[in-house]
Amino acid sequence: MTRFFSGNWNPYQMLFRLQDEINRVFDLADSSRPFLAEPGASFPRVNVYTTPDESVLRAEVPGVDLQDLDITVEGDTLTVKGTRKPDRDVPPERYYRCERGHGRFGRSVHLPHRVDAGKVKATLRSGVLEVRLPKAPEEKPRSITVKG
Amino acid sequence: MTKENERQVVRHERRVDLTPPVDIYDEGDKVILIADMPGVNPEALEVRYERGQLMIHGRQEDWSEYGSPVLSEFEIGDYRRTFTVGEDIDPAHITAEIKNGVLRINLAKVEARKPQKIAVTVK
Repeated sequence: MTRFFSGNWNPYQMLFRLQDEINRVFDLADSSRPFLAEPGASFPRVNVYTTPDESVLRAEVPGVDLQDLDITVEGDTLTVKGTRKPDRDVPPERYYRCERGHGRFGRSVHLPHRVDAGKVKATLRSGVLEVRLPKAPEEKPRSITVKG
Repeated sequence: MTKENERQVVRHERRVDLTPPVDIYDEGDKVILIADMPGVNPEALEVRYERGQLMIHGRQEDWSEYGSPVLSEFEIGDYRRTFTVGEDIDPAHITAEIKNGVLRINLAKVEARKPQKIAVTVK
């Protein structure tokens, strides 16, 4: 708060700032606005690990049902799309706090290998999606016999 | 897959503290609190009310991780957050459930604080 009392203190600026804050709160509370899809919003957050045989992706998708998830694999790219439904139709003025987003989301992840698309397995547990992506047969490491 | 790298459980050396994002709204006779806590199973959830404070704590499941990281956007840890509960909430009627990584708490209001229709006699 000290910045309000430095050098060129402008009481109007303080009011504008307050107005911005209030607008922001009401924007967030607007249940019709799908702000998960906003640029910069990284939803869902993902972790990817890779082994010689496969890659495993984990994504945090709390409150998303399996039927609202769309997982596609093409070559070396995995795309997770979906919709997070609003909890209920709550009018904005009834919110004390609104920090969770809802709406449509989508993420694409480039993997370090091509995927055997027919063998991809996905499970959803406690709001965490796990996708196991076996490497395409031609990508798997193989030992080469050296003839002496 | 060879036996060596098959689901080898690696305990996370460092668990981080996480703040779950919440929605709180008024439903007239109760207040609803919703918190995103992905990775928390019902048995790893603790909701406690003590002297006007509602404390939520959810321990994320330690999962097996193996191989080398390609993308790392989140860490494993404990969700914690404390809320101050007003006098209009009845502490005896707080219920909580967690499903799909989303915690939902119902905070019923004390009977006297529920919105009531009052007939006004105009003289």
